[in-house]
Amino acid sequence: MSYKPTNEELMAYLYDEIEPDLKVQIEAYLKENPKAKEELEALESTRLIFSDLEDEVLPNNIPLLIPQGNSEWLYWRKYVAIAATLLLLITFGWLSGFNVQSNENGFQVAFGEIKNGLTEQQVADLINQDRQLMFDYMSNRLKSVEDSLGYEMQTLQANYNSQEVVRNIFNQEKEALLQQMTNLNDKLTGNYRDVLKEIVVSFSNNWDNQRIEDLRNIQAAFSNLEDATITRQFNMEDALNILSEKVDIIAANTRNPNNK
Amino acid sequence: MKEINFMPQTDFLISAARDGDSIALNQLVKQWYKRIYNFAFKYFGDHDQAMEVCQKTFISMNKNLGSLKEDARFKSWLYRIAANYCHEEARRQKSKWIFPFMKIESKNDKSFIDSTQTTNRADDPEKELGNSELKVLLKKALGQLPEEQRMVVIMKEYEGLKIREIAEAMDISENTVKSRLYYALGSLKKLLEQWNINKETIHYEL
Repeated sequence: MSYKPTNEELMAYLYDEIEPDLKVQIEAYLKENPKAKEELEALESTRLIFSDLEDEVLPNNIPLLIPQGNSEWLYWRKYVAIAATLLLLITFGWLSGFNVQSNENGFQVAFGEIKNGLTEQQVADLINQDRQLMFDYMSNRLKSVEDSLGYEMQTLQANYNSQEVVRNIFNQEKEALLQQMTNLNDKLTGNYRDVLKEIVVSFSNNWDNQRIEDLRNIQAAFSNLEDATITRQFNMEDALNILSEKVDIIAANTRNPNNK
Repeated sequence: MKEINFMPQTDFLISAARDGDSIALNQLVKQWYKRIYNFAFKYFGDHDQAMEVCQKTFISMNKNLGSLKEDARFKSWLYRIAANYCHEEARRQKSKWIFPFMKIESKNDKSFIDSTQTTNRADDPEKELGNSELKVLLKKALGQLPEEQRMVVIMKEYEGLKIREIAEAMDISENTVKSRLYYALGSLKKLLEQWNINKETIHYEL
């Protein structure tokens, strides 16, 4: 198989505008054919030498610019733009009451009516007035604090005096209470014997009743015990009879073992 | 002073220019003026003829931009217009019996070219060429190529068009483009060999 590229294919390869598959084939061909490779390299060198021919320097003015249809407008439009901007600024200034003035006081600018600033004396007066106001305020404040403190002192004094009153009332109340206790003691002393007697009698009655009740209970307990004892005795007798019968049977069986 | 290129993309300019935007049209002219001028200059080797072709090309571009169907093919479309005007100008010059690129062989140039040409160089093949001398010889070599080959070489080597774009611009097949390139490079190689110009003999002036 001997592939040989056409001149056109070699050119496509030289300018690297070739299909990748074909490129591989041509590279293989050039590898096997040094002469063809040499010729192609000579063409490449020729290209390189001719690439030294640079661009020409352009004329300064390009005379080909196509005149614009509304060139007059293009000429005037920058002035129109400046005029429109100025008009806009003037309108804005007028609407906002912008004022500019230059006189012996200097250059003055203001929105609305131009008002001169305060004189030195006016500023000093304003400061003094402010100081006076502050002084008055501080004075009033100090006075009110002083009054407040005096009132607090009076209150404290008043409280101190009231302690004496409370102590008197306390003593009075204490004496009244003692008196009441004394009276109660006296009252109790008069009826004490009768009350004690009633208590003793009542206690005595209760004691007797309790004793009778207890005796009854004991009697009942004894009766129960008696009944129980008798019942047990009967049971014991029955048991003995049964035992006796069983002993007799055993004795009879022992004597006559052949009866079995 | 180096000009900073703030121009927008060509596609956008084409679209705007087609819609009648004269500013976009002017920008488009500015963008391509240098290339078309150099294309025509290398073809004719003459400033006046290059300017003539440039003017006609851009006037035609302005008139016919609406007929451009695909913006992507603007480049080959523009070179096609320029190439047609180059042919027309060449025919006009032929009818006057003055071949354009021969203009460089005026009285003054002729002696200069003779001094750099075969006889002297044959005597001293190792003599190095100056940059300006080389340019004159390269222009002369290009001028000696047949018209069709010269145009293909200029479009490919100096204008950087793809083979496909050259085919579109010249209304020929891609294979014809490649074939013309092959023969053109071969001819140029022979001319350089005749004049003993090679990589070693080129001297770059500082």
